[in-house]
Amino acid sequence: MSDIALPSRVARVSPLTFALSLAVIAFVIASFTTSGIAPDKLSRGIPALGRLVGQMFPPSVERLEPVLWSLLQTFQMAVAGTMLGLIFSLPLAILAAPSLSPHPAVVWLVRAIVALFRTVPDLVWAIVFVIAVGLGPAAGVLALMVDTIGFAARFFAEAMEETEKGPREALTAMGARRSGIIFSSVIPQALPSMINTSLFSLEKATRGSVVLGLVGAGGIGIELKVSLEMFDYDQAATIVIAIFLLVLAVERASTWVRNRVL
Amino acid sequence: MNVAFTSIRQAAEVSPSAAIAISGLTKSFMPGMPVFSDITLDIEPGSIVALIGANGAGKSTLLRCIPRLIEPDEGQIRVLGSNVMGPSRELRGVRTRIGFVFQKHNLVGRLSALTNVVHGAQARGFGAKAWLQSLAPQAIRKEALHCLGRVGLAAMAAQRADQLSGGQSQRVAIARALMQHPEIVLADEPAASLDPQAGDEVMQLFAALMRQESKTVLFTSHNLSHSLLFADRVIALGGGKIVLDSPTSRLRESELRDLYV
Repeated sequence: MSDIALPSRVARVSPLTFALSLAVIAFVIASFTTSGIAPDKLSRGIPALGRLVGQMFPPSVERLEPVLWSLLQTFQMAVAGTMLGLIFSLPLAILAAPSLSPHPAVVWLVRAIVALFRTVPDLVWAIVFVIAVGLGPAAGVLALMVDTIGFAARFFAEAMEETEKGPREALTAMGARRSGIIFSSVIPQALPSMINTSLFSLEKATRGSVVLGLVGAGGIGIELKVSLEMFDYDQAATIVIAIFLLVLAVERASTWVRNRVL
Repeated sequence: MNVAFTSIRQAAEVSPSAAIAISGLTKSFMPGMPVFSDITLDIEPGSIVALIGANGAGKSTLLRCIPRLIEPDEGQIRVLGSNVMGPSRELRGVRTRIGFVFQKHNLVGRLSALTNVVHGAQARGFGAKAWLQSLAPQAIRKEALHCLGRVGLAAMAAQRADQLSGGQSQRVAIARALMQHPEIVLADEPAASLDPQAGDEVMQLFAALMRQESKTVLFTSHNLSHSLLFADRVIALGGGKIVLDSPTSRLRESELRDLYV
């Protein structure tokens, strides 16, 4: 038998770690209290939820045609917003990638702009653009574009940074221009990751586009809002099912494309 | 070191007609620990020179300093009469005249062999037309295919580079260098990542093509037979200095082996 003592089953905790752990636990408990989640409230809510579901079914197909047109418009907003976002993401990503950008200050500035685009929710961007360009799908498209830039520019930049440096070095050694190095070596290598990000952007924009109508930025959201405000819950059910099917179809299609391309 | 020091030139002896003229070159990655210091050498036009030395002797660093892929700390480098240490615009001009064959081939794996060769035309001012073979003028595409033919890979032009064997990839890299129409070719252990047979084949092909085109070549190698077989002159680095500089005809392999002891 060895004379060496067995290590303790539990690692020793410093007073600071212990105090921080207590503070985190207290904050979690306080969060539940503030949010008003209580068993009696939940027990009262479940029957109300049951009544709502009862009123939603069977879904009404009375206004199916205008709902489907709105759904198409919503998807078109998502496609247009994503495309514009991806187009602007490419140059921004190049400027945000430290090894491709002309200056570290440019990297910092572009990353800050992209972070701003990403951290402000798309609904807030929709409100901003409704104020700027008025009610309608144009505001929605611009909101989705900004949201896509925030997401795609960051991931494009990371994909570019992760590419193999060897082919870049080969082109540098032969005196190729910076644009040549980017388009001959960096983008071809980053392409699978960029396609992946683009497909996720489209899925994200499709999900995002359905709620933009709630603030007047076009699409099916306005139909949903009106149905709920008029207590036409069976109508709302049709819209929710239509949205679900659209999002599911886009996700399935993008998975299919991803598997084919990558 | 028990080696015949055939000729070790001094800074003042750099020839004005040299294709590559290096004087007083020093490089260190850590303060006070130079990889090499005060290196002076010149390479005559049309000659094939092997640069040898043990691991860490600074062969690859020296080779990469020539087109300033690694920034030297001190010293002067002139390539074909142009100052490599000049501003970036001038440097890019010099680089277009230097082909570089890397140990790990450095091809863009997702692109075809043909596109990788077409990339060489970027050094000749074709710009965006040489980004992809599909964008390139027909003459450039044909020339790239011809270059692939010269390395025996015309039939694999459409193959993705990451689906080629190591030897095939290195041949494509040589074809890319030919496409560049360089006057000087630098090769960093071109056969090191290949099995012995593929390594011999690639070196044979490389040396034959370079001789056909009368290129000035500086290649690094750990393979002493390759150095003696394919080079006109051998330069050895050791302890951060040139410890041997001799025509190949005056050297024996056993003599070179002592450098690694």
